[in-house]
Amino acid sequence: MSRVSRRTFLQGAAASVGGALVPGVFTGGKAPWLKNAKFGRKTVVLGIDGMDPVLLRRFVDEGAMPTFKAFMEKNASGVLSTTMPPQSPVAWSSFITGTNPGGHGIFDFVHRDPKILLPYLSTSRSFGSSSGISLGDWNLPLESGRVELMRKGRPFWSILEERGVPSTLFALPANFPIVEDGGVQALSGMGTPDLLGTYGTFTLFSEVDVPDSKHWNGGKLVRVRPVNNVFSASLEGPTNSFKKDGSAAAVPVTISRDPWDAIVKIDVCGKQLILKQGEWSEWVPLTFEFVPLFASVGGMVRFFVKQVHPTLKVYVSPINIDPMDPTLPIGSPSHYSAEIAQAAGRFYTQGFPADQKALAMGVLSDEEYFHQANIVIDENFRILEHQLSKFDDGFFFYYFSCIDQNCHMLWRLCDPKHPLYKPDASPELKNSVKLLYQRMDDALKMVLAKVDQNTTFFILSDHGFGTFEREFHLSRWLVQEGFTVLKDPGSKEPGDLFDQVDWAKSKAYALGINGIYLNMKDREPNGIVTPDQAQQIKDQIIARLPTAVDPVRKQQIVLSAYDSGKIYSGPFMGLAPDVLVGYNRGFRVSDEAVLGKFPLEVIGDRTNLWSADHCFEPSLVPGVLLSNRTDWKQGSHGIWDLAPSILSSFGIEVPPEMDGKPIQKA
Amino acid sequence: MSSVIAAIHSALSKAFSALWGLLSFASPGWQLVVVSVVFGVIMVLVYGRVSNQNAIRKVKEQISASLLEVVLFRRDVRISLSAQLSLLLAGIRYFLLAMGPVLILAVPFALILGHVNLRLGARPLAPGEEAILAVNVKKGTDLKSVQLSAGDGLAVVGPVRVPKTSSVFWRVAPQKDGETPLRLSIGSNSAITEDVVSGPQSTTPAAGIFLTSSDWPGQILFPNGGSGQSLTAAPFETVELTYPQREYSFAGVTMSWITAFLVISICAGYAGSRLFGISV
Repeated sequence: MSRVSRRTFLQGAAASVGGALVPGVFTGGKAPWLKNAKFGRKTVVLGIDGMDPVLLRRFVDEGAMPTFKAFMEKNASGVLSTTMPPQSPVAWSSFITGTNPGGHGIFDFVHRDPKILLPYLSTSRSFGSSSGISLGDWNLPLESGRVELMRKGRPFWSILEERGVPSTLFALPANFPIVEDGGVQALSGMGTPDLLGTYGTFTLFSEVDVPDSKHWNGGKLVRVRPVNNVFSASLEGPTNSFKKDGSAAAVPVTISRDPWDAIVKIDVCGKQLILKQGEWSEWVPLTFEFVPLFASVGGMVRFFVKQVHPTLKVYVSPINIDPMDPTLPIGSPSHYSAEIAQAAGRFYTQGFPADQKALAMGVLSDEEYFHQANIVIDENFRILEHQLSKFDDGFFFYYFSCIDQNCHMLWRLCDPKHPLYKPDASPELKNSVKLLYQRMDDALKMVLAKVDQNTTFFILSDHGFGTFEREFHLSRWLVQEGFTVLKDPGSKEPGDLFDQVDWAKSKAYALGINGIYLNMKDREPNGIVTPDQAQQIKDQIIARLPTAVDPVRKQQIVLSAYDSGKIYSGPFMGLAPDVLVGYNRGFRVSDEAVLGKFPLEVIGDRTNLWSADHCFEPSLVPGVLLSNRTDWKQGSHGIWDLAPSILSSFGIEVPPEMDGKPIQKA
Repeated sequence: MSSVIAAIHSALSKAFSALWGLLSFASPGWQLVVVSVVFGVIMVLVYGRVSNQNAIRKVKEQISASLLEVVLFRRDVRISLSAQLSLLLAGIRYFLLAMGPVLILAVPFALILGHVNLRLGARPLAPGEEAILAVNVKKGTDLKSVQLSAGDGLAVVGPVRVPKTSSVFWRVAPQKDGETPLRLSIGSNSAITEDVVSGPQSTTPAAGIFLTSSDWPGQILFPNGGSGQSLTAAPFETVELTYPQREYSFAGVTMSWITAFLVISICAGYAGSRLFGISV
């Protein structure tokens, strides 16, 4: 097995996306052909990631969500079973395909390549150009790089398209890169990277050093020094695949600080901005030159002036793909994102638009983060208004990420029992979760204006939410139980990417949020578990996990564990973890254990501001389902039932590969 | 130099004002088409007068003959190489013959470009749309003394004072359609006023640099199209409000005015050369 540090892994991932950017400079998308005929029926789905049924009921009962209240009184509502694991890419992929994860091949945010035991982000992979000509310091790629959608299975809109039903899909997760389809207007959502190929990497220009900045994951500190109150800096963009040394393309940034007042002027890429302290800029388009006058890629950022005096601190958002000139395939047809941006303004295209990392690393304060989150929501509303104005036929899906993203970060401020609760937080922050739900009430009001008697309407969430206070180092637990063996059991270092594992003696390892893999012979590079031993080891893990108890809280850490062979079926089961872990409410795997580190303790306090989660036992975190179709069948319904329900709403037969069944009676 | 350029700009301003008076009924797009056609034809007529037409004709005939020779005798290496050498020499001659007139035309070209840019290069701000007002003052001027006062309906953020470049910047945004005055002053002695234009896309603000003094290439390309106030005695060096660039759409293709201007004027010039029998 190759030894690659976590940093190298992340750099490699970024580099390959940089490579994949290259062909985008030379290739154009094919002209789309959209069907124009009216279909007559409409189905609208409002997808609200992470809307929790308990919170929804509470806010409705408190009178904070009058539109939801009225809708729920007149229509059908209930909980929606989620997938195992209850992670967004998994659940939304089941929404898309109508199958269990074995039918679409997404089992976690993070998968691993069993040949090299390196993790990758599950929904898409990028591949740089593998051949080229060397010319001095330059490398001329001879073939295109590419980004590949790893979600398999047939999306329901492909069936709609066959029947002539036009579809509009805004920011549906697990749908990047977009595969162009003649009858579909779509924009990618969760899973869409920034221009660096990451899920979001901000930059902080700072006059002073920031402790721990070397350990930032998802952010970069750039130290700047003034000359007569003028700061010259460089904003690093994507890896320049034309350069042999793999250096990054960059744009110069000049920040001029007023000597007396808290205000700056920023010059970047021919644009001039004047921003006061505490002010956010609009989107600023940037051009990163790979080869001067020959090849370049575009992106866009927002600036935020955090502090002017006595020392300068300017935050720069992750470099988003510019919807006006998308470098990677984020839309179908290819000009769709530009159409939206022209009508509703530029908008965040990265899959996780709220900058959770900047908050977690202390670069943005709670107030600053919440302000940024609301910028994202405002953009979403502008686009929703525009998209609804254009929609009059076929299928329409619109997605909001704000509840999910912000509950992760702000729950602690709204829950007085949470260990990270701040009694002195502003009333706005203490009510932030409720305020976000209220914005969804506004969204529902907008959508309902478009729902008529010929419209089938669903509101759903992929999972609920719960507090996250104690982190479980699953990797260390496997060591403690003898399933993973370390080369040096006495080591005080947590290591990285399994570099401490003695593969010749290890039977299993943890990777991802809810997954455990066996170290299988002929599958893993140094596998030792034979097929006839596998079931016994899985059974042992499944039996022992629920016995793990938090010594501080005296609570069960894991409610249940599952054999993937028993809960999944379908052609892509080979990618699944062998065991799935269902954590108790309040507990989740630690960030370290997700990527093969081995902290010294089995369990500890959660100190990261990511203070709520949903990757628990699925029955603890169902989603919500509301519909104007009140003729629901008896029994429970799962997110995999939505694709069949949508097809059924157009009178289309559900294909046999779908596991789900229509929610509504025929 | 400044006074000469100012005199030329003054004359050109009158000519362009007269032309714009005639074109006032048309949209900016049509104004651009007319100006480009007129400019292209005039330029080709001037080119015909300042160039050695006989020599150009002869060298073009020589190029044609050499090309024909290359094609006809492509199997005879000696003749083919000789024809290619002849072609190369004729090409150099043609380039040299064209270079002089082109250099002569470059001066009026630059002057006229400035005036066209002034009238067609920018569009008015939409209400709420922001622009940067940049002021450069003479070195040594107390930047704290540079003041901006604006009329109602103009949101102003700033100033940002940059001692390194003796500059002061504001961000301005009109809140409603119309012309909103702003007044810049340094102490109690020097003051200039200008209007910030906001309104329908059909209107044409006098865009770009309002006032300029020392930089003579800048004076050629950016004629004083604002209030016409003299700066020679004032501490102001330049005052510039950056309006958004106006974009033109022809047959579904969006482009800047300069691209459209070059394409249309070249086509018009080529047509004019055929009409007037001018070799270009």
